[in-house]
Amino acid sequence: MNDVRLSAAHWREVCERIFRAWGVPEDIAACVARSLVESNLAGVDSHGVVRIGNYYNFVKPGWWLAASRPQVAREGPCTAIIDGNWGLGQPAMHLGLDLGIAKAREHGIAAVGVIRAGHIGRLGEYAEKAAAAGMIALLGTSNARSGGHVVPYGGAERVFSTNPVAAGVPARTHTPFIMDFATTVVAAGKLELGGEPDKPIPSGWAVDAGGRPATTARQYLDGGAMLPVAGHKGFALMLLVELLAGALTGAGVTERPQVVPAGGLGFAGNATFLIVLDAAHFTDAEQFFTDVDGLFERLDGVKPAPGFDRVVVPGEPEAEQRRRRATDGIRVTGAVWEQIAAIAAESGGRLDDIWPGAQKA
Amino acid sequence: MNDITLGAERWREICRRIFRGWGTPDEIAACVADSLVDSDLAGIYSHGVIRVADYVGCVKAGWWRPESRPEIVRETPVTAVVEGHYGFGQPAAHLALDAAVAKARAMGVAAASVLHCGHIGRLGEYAEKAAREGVVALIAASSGGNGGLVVPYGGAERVFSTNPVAAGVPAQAHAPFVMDFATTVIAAGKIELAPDKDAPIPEGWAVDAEGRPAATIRQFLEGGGLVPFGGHKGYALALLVELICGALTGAGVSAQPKRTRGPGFGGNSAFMVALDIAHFTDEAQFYNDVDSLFNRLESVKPAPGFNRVMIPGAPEIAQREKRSREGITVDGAIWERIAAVAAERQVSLDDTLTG
Repeated sequence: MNDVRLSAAHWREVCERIFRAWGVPEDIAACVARSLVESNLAGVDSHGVVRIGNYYNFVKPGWWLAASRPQVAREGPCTAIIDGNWGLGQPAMHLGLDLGIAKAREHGIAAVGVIRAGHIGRLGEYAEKAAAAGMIALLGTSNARSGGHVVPYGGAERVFSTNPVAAGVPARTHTPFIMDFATTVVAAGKLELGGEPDKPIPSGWAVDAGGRPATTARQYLDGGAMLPVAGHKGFALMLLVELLAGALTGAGVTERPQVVPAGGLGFAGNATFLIVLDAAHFTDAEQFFTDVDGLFERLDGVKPAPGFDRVVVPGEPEAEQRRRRATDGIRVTGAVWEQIAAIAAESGGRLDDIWPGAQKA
Repeated sequence: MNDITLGAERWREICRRIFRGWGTPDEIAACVADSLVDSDLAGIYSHGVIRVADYVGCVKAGWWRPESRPEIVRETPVTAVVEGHYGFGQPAAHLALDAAVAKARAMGVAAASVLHCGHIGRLGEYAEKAAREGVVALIAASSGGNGGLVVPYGGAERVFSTNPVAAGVPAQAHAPFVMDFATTVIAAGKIELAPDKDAPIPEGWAVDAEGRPAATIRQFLEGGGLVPFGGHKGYALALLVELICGALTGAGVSAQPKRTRGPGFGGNSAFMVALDIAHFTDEAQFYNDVDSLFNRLESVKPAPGFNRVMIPGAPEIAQREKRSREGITVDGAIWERIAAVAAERQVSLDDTLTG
């Protein structure tokens, strides 16, 4: 089957109908739909509509609870813990971030933990939202007790998930700074979704089950693991995320595989710790924006190294993609579309009025 | 000249006398001396007594004011701004950390910025101090707008300093987690202090003036730059540090290609966040999670070529035990520089070297 291309609005409608068919409340369905489609618009397809199938695999057996709503479980003037009640993760994050932004605006800084939530999607989404509100945000996310497929530096056993970190810093004349990366060398998707497990992979991406460099994705998939970025530095950052998002929030840290079996309530859900800062409580806000924009201008003007067109400020590539895809629409492969259509059919969500009207790629 | 080996307390006395000799108040001289000597004890020689002559050099140039005391110039229940008045950096950083820790204990979270001061030393010092007091700390430092030797990813011009990040997380049964690293592939000292400038360096450490991989130290020194670790990831982190420690603190960012040598040159600006565990979760559960995770890491099967998985902070503790026993050694050339800045102010060190 050919690729399927739909506008962002159509994709949101597709997502919302499917989520509602699972029993997800309307406002939450809209929030998660927006999150996935925004990821596609930003060019981060790994966190886009392709996740519908992945989310279904968690919701169908009851590992994540479609009907759940997040709630504020604990709150101080500058702190909060959000309990996601094992619902879809994005609404829990937005609840936590909005609260963090309001508290930071009043006091200068706030810190929020978001626990017992499904997948929260692309971290950059929250960094962007904070920056758009004129705030600085720092966040890190783990898989709480579930852990993942990443070895600690010097180790030959899977312990961590990819424990991504993100940050947003507002600018005035420039696109805001948006950093968002896994603390591994590569994202899991690059190794798992390739579909060609025997193709060689670059040295340094992963190890096999014996802790030796993996030369193919299959060696990684057969009990191997991903590596932290830049050796001990990425490992330290990854462990810090595990400690903040897992231990400090109360969500829990990665446990031995036999303790948390693959499956069960909350399996592979996310835990997140986020800090929000308001520059106006520390310095003159005008000077802050002058400095930020001045630094970005300097970076834009730096002589590029051989093989590069220019120095990129993190967040710019996503902004560029967004401009392009807002007009071009979002494309998925025929196989992904068939999976989405099958889930819709199984769940009782209608898509036929959307697809025939969609532009064929 | 031969290497000199002395116990930690002798080194502290030497540092204190020299800084006092250059006009530094007693308690500030002691704070800076403790910082340098503790770095040596932790095995981080680049931030140890090797810096004494450099610090005095910054004082002599008028960039740092030895008599200055830091003060909190702006404050709320959860924020503090520490003005260093271009004095030594360590006392300013301790003032900020102590303020952040005290505020976090009351409110759960707090942040302090530090600006207009000298070099604040090893960031791990502050991360470890917070962790030992049962508080989580996140710390970063930049060069207060003076830039440095680091190119942005994809660029061929020096923009950033090594913009280090650090964090401390307390544990109960284990030593605390203490992370402390430059956002570059290697620390500047590793290649700047190397005696043979034509020695080859590993690919990926630095670039030459055109942004090509530098093959020798000389190619880096002649207008080249250090490279962020992990390509775009380390670069994003370096830029984040520049934005927070430069723009958010008000110290200034490295926005001008030309570095101006004036007050604060060679110094730092910094930002610290402190988090109190009990405001977020049950403390007993927190320590149970932290210690069990560290237990698990220590029992992970090592990869080929490794003895075991190390918790960040553990190597420094092992070094500290060894150095406390064996003393701290500096080579003759470094000692001569230290002795020279002492002699310049008629500071006698003779009695610290004998008996």
